Amino acid sequence: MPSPPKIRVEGLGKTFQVRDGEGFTALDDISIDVAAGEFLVVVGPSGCGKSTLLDLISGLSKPSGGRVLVDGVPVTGPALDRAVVFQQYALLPWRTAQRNVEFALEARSRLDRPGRKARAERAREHLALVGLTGFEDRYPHELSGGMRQRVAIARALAADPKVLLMDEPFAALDAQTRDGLQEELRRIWQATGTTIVFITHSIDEAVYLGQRVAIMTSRPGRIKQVVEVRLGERDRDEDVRSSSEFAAYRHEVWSLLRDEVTVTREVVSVG
Amino acid sequence: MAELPIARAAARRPLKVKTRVPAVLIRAAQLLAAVGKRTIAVILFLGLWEVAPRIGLVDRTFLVPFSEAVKALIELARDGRLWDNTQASLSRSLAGFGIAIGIGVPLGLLIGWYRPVAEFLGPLLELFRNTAALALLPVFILLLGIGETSKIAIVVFACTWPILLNTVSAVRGVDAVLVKSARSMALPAPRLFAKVILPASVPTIFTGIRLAGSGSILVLIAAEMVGAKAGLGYLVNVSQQNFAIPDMYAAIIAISVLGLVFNQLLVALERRLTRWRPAAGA
Repeated sequence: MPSPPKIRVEGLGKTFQVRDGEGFTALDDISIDVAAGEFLVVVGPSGCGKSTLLDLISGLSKPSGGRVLVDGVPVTGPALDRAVVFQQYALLPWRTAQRNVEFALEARSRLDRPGRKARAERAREHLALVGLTGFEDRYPHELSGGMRQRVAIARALAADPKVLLMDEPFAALDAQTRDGLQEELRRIWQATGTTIVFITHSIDEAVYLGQRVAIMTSRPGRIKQVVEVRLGERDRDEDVRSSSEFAAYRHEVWSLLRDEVTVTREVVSVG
Repeated sequence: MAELPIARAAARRPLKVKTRVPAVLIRAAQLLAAVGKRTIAVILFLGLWEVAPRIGLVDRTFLVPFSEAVKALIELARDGRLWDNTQASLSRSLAGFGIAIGIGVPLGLLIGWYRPVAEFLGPLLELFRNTAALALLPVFILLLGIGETSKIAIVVFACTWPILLNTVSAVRGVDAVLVKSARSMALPAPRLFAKVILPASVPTIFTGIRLAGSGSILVLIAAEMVGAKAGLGYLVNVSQQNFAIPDMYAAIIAISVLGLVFNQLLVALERRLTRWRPAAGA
């Protein structure tokens, strides 16, 4: 590797205590490197531990084994260099879009927290980045699902994180909104150069967004294979999604995933 | 109420005479109709109250017509007795209510935040909440005498439970995703509390505060009936004992108006504090 990885996941495992003192292994021996500025998508069947993996990288939960390094420093807890975008937006309903974005800046320690005016200015810039100029004073309930997720993305980016962690952010949106936001996210990623780890169960989404797509197995969650996607620029004028290369990548990921889904089904029917 | 838009129209008249007036008149009429629709049941009830004693449906000695009760109320207001007694009641119930908020909200936040504390204290709180406050009035009188202290204490007791329990459930009901998201921003616990938990809890806490508000007047009036030298409850009781029946009804009307105004104030405050919510409180 020419440059050291932004994120290094080393032999990561997570076991949950369930009843009768038995352990449930959600993740087992996950190892993967994410380069600086890379867009990595993790795709897997539901219940394979994708979200658990993201929680571990963000520092929201502690691993049972292995470790996560960001810029070579082990993760011990949540920090502002890693921002998380959740599927349920997680906007504060009593704050306007503008004030929700400012919230990320208020989280900083008193010393390097920008002043009130600077915060407002930064929030406005980031709302503009996600195309929400003119909606600053709207409350979350006055915005559509897609707009709420844009606010959440703006909030995540406003803190200027090195890494953006996204946990199925578009899963609750309708197909058209989702396509639009995927394009938007690619554009934002190119504009900001932020390293992104994106979790999804949608193959199309994975192939469209990712530079690399990591396919996860279920029970216990492991990384089965990493597919490199070489689709070049996803040009707005060109419909990448209906190209033959896209179909080929889609099929490759689908085949890798299908075995997993079948396995899951068998386990369920036996149990 | 209905006078207001018309007065406003008169003030605007020099500006846009022809277009403004009809619109405002229509709005005034609409407002009147809306007010009428909402008050018709009350008006009917008062009408029945007025008529029933007059036509001999009930004994006029014990149930005076509404108009006589109002007359007595005006008389009471004129000689200052109404204000003195209202003031006595109001200061007791506000003091008790305020103390209950001061105890209930912080304690509720604490209990709600620390799950083990909530589990430990839950059954006890449930027991206290379901103990009718008035059943404890003799105990309070025994311990604190018949003065102001025991009356305020019983209001505090009655008000604390709804506020405390609602605050506990408010904190425990805060959307887990909001907490997770704030934690992912490495927000320190005190700031998480001030910026997420507290604002998210306000609507549910306010439900408790409103319950306590009506409870504070209810319990106080009853306490004043048992032993007091002033207060609206005392006024009801003493009027009945002296057979000043119109005064008794006048005091009852005063109590109901006081309760109504208090509740409306709390509703207005609640609206102000929860304006961000999609029109659910309406």
